[in-house]
Amino acid sequence: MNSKIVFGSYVPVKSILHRLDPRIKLIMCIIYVILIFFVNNFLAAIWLLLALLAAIKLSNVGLRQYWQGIKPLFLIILITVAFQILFSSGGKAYWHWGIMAITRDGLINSLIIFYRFIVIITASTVLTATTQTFQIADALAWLMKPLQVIKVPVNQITLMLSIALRFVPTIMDETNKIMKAQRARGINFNAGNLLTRIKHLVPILIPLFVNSFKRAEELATAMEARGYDPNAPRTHYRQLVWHKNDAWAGLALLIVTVGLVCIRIFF
Amino acid sequence: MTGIKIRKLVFTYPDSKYPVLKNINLDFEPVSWTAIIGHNGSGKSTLARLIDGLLSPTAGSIEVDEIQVNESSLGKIHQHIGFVFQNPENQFVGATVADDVAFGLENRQVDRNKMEEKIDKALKMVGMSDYKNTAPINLSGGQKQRVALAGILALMPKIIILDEATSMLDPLARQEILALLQKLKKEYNLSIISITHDLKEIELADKIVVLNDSQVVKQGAPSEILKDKELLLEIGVGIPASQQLQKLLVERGINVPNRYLNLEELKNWLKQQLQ
Amino acid sequence: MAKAAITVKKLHYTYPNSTNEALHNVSLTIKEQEFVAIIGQTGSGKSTLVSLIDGLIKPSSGELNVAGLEINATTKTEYLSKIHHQVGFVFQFPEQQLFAETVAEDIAFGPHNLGWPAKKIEKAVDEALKMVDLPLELKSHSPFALSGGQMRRVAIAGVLAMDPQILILDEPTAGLDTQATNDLLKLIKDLNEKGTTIIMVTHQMEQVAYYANHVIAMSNGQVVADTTPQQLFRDAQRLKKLSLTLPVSVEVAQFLSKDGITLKNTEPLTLDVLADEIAEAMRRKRK
Repeated sequence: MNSKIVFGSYVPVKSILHRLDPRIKLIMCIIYVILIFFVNNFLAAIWLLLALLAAIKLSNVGLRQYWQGIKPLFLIILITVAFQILFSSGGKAYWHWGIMAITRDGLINSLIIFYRFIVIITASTVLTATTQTFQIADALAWLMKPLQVIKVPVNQITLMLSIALRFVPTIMDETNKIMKAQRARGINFNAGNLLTRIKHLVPILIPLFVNSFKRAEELATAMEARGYDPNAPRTHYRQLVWHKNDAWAGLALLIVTVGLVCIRIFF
Repeated sequence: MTGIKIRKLVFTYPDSKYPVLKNINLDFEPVSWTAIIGHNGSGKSTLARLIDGLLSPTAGSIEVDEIQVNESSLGKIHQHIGFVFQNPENQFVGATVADDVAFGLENRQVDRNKMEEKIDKALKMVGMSDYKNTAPINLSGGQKQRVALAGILALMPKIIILDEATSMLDPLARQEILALLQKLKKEYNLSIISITHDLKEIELADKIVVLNDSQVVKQGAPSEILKDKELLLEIGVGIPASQQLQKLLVERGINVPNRYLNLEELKNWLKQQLQ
Repeated sequence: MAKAAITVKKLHYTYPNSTNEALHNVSLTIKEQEFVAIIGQTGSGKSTLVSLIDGLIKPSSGELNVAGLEINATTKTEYLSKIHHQVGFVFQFPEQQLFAETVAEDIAFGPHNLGWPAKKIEKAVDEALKMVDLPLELKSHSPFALSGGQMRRVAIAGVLAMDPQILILDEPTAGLDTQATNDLLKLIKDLNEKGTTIIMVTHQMEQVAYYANHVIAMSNGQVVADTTPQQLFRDAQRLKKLSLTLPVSVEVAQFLSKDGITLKNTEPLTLDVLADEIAEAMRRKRK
């Protein structure tokens, strides 16, 4: 059992955020992300950043671990930002070459994009670091409940989702195993040009697919043997119960929202 | 309880020309342990799935404790029979041990208030109480199979089918699971049907059914079947160590009783002779 | 004295993102053409040790020498891949790593990665198929259309085709029936007799007793026994502590000796030897 700490994985420590109901955490995360898009000035940006820093502090998870979560995505963010800088126009131009130019608007836009990326990724990492995946699935199920009215098979979807999440570590382990086995057969995943590297994915992906299909088939049979009928009603072992702290969390969210609205109106 | 009655059972897979099972007639006594043995592809697993209604017969009938196995009785059959599959990983549905045991209860629409107690009891039966909130990735194969058993026991079945359920475990975990099954069988009057290659598991049975070429070629008590060395070799099971030793001793002119002795019996016989 | 195929000195290994050492201060020597069994519970460090020997991971500290290649914490990854010219590794359930469109392509994958010329690869594929007792007609078949037992053999052929001097096998017989198990063990024994050094991870004490001439027992990341099977089975107490069982032949002998019936050889490794001992004891008694 090794190297299971990846982007978006749960950090098993104790904190106020860990104890919160997953529903309030999911709602907070969603609303926070929406709020980010209403940021139009420096002060608003700082205000939401402060809220995020408070959440990080309360999560009892070290900043370094958050950085571990963002790091793999950092390159993509930088490339996007660079594109934004070089290919947007408007405002005072500082430098240009062919179709590329660095302009005042371009700089400001890219700064905003950079800010949004980092803040949104960190906010969702706060959610996943403090909430186990199956709890997030439960919260999603609860959020989707109203869709049942328009005949969306919410129960099937959530069961599917929670089973998919349950098998993520299994499949990661399996990927590791297959990679090791193919490396033992002399393949070097770090060598060659892009095309060779893509070709090197075949000996990993094919066995992975074949094994996963087999897994899925066996799992389906096992579920049937255990009395699962997708069309029958089921009871639910996992129950979500609201606590007093969840109300406080909701209040905090309200304050952040009202604060943002005030900043937008008065500044 | 009347056990399982299989009559004139035929099964052909939809994409195949040849039947995997042809004209099977079999009876399983209630509260007994039956081992089904045979080559890979002899139809053992298919037979087990047919009994549990996971496949429907091409022809013939199956009756489990007076319930006809068919489309409309599936719910009852699944409740009556617990099925443990080969791969521990691929039958673990829940995010944690408790969730997995709850899965069957949820399907049965067991009231939420009664679940906790049933889960705790089932986990206690298989000795996994300390792992209630553990995720499957942190369990060994043997522990996962225990959880699979707990998930079944929570529904109070009468029959447990083991489809090579111990074949992916190491010898120690296998021994432990088999000892657990023996204990549970006694305490709860369970019937067990085990599909297996493992001689130690076969020896636990009251009755052995041998499948070969899609048919039942022999059935009887272990003392009878395990004596038949040619048959055992033909179906790839191998000869029990006690039988091998018996043969080697006879070759050396030692007068070993000419009946099947399991290892314990043989050890005790040797002790008597040499003391 | 045979040359050392592998020497391991003060090896430590900790997995990334883990705080516990998976291997702690392991030192051992494996000689050329030995048949080594590595035993121990799941999580005892067996898999880590063989992964290090095959250069799939780098030691945290300490060093090893595998077929003349020196490896330590600072060894470059490109250098590590040289090991695969000398060492073959058959993983547990190797059939789960098959991927190519045809059996021949899959078996050729390893030799191809080693950069062999086409002629040599073709010959190696045919020879490997013969070794695992599969007909050459199967070459053009899809590996996924074969039976489970055949798939296992194709996967093993894929490693044998690389012509390894040292062959590591991680529970090669898991899930096979008795007949297939015996066939495979015979193949491994034959390779060993022809000069291949064998390192086999196993839970089956019968296999240790029958085939190995050197056994390494691991527990909690440490080597707790590095000896012959005979010596290992002599210490039933220690085996019990390691949750390992005895082979039937030794079990019977020790059962008898508990009741004062001592055979001359107290750890008969095969049933044949045990039967001889019992016959001898009976004769003595009659006198």
